[in-house]
Amino acid sequence: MSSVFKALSDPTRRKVLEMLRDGPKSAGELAAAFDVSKPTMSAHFAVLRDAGLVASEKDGKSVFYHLQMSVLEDALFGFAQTFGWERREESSATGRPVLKEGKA
Amino acid sequence: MTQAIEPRRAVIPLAVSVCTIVGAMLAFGITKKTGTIDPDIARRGAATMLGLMLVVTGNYIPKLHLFRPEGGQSGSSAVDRFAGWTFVGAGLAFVAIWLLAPIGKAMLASPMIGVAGFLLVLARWLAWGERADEGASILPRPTPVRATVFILLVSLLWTFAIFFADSVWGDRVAQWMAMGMILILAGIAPFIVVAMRRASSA
Repeated sequence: MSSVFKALSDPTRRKVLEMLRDGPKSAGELAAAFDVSKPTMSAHFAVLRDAGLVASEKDGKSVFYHLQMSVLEDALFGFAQTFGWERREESSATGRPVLKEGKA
Repeated sequence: MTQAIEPRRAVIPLAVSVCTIVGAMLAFGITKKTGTIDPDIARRGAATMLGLMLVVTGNYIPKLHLFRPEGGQSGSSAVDRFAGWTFVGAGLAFVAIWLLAPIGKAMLASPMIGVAGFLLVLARWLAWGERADEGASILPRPTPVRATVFILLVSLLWTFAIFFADSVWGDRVAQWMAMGMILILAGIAPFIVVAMRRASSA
């Protein structure tokens, strides 16, 4: 359970989970939404995978991620989203949420 | 896209929880027969375990992708999430009723909540099927874990119906319904085995 808390404690990883609510997304699509380096993003994916909150599937050269949260984990995620600390800045150019590099 | 298998971190705790709950239900049954504890407390305890079974099963449904069909159509994860939350909510309400309400009222109200949960999930699944790609099957891909969870859910639904029949029509009808459940499960088991073999050979 501690791996789940660790995974949910980071705003970048929470944002990834939020994006995956709409359906499976490729690693590239997810990484494009964040202003962080590729190794950092890979580390975030690894933490989420280790916690069992997401699962990855290979399709050709792309790796697709999809949500794999139990109801309890989903509730914890909602709790973390509501009460958790989040560093968020609005990009003036794109209007897209840009997250600072989080500690993986 | 390749199909993901059910994660062990969902299958193992689900199996352990279900076995523990079944053990607790048996313990309540034995203590009721031997007169170790008050029969009403034993009855409440066993019914509470039934509600907990729905909570535990519902909790793992999104992780097991119970409604994911062959080929992994988009949108099935939303059905899984809806089913999980609905079963957890219905299970908690079931438990609360058995802990707080008088036994007579709990016998009538709790199965109604349980059956309502199942109907809601069925309606959500069919509504998703209406919107799904034309010609694509929305039937979940049968695997041993999914078949087991499906049988567990059917058994729970039938048990709720037995509870309801017991409080409305009496003990005799409930006993016949219990016999009927065994016959139904025996009847559908071969079809599930055939479907799993077909899916594994495809």
